[in-house]
Amino acid sequence: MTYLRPHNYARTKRNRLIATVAIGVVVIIGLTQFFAPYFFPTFFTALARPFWREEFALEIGAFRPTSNIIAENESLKMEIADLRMNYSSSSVAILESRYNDLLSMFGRASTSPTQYKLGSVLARPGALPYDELIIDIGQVDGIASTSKVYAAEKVLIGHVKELLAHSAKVILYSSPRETYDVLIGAKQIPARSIGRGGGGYTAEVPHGSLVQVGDIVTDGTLYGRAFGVVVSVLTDPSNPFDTVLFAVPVNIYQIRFVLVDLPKSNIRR
Amino acid sequence: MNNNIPLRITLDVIVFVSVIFGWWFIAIPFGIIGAWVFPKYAELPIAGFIYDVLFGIGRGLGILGYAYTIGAVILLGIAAYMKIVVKNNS
Repeated sequence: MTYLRPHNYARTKRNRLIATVAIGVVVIIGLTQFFAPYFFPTFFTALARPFWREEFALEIGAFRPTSNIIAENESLKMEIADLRMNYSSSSVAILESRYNDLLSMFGRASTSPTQYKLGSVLARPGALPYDELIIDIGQVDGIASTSKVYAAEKVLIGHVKELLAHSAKVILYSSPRETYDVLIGAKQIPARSIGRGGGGYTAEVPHGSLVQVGDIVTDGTLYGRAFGVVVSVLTDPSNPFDTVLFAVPVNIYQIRFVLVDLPKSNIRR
Repeated sequence: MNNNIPLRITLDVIVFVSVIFGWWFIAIPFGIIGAWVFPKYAELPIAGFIYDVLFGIGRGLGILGYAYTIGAVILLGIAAYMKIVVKNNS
């Protein structure tokens, strides 16, 4: 005789209960994670934190030993000291001195203290239209209508436009439509800078000239004075030229003093 | 059904202590042992969730932040399936 195995209703009911509870727990956890995502991390981290000891982590090797970090720090300090020795200001000063000696040998000595006249800026861009300055030195001080004007650290910024007896108007090379021939970057790529206003310049260089942001733009003279710093390079594959945007490295809206070139006949020796 | 409570408690302690310290290489083998020996070993997915909460979720990992929870559920399912296969074949 065949007996049918009786159905275990209690077991089925228990399994259903377990499944319901499991699904309920998952739903509750999901909703908690959705509405309060940091509840569980905060709770369990607070429970586990008393067990997280730095000494224990060190013993099991979870962190690098302090001695290794100290040794690495000393090694980095030595490397910094070596770099400072190799590229110290004294090294730069030595190179600069040798460069000036070389120029002197060929009668092209660098600046002398009496080659420039210091002028105070009476009005600057913002108070004047375009990129112009009014300075407090003029014809009586020995400057000429062709004199070049420099900002701090001998940055060429413009030239005298109008000359009066005791004052002068200076137009900056960053003024719109003002042009100046410059050299860009370490490869000294020749270009013509065109003023954009607000202390900015633009120039075109052949495509692939490898001009980079941060390259120094110089004035093209023997002394290679700073003229600007490249801030952007615009490349268009369909254009054989790249557009280089660079800016004067000083804030023209805050210039207080300028140096004005004196004509050679006016230089006192 | 295995109702060895002391063994279950021992396994639970090992698994949860390993989870607190982040020792997944200890928690996983002992979790598998518990899933095999005991039926409905819910401690395994709970341990996986706690591990994710401590070291995974909220770290910008997305779904990977729940990897140990998902892995624990999968391991539990595989252990349950293997137990059925072994039981049917024995």
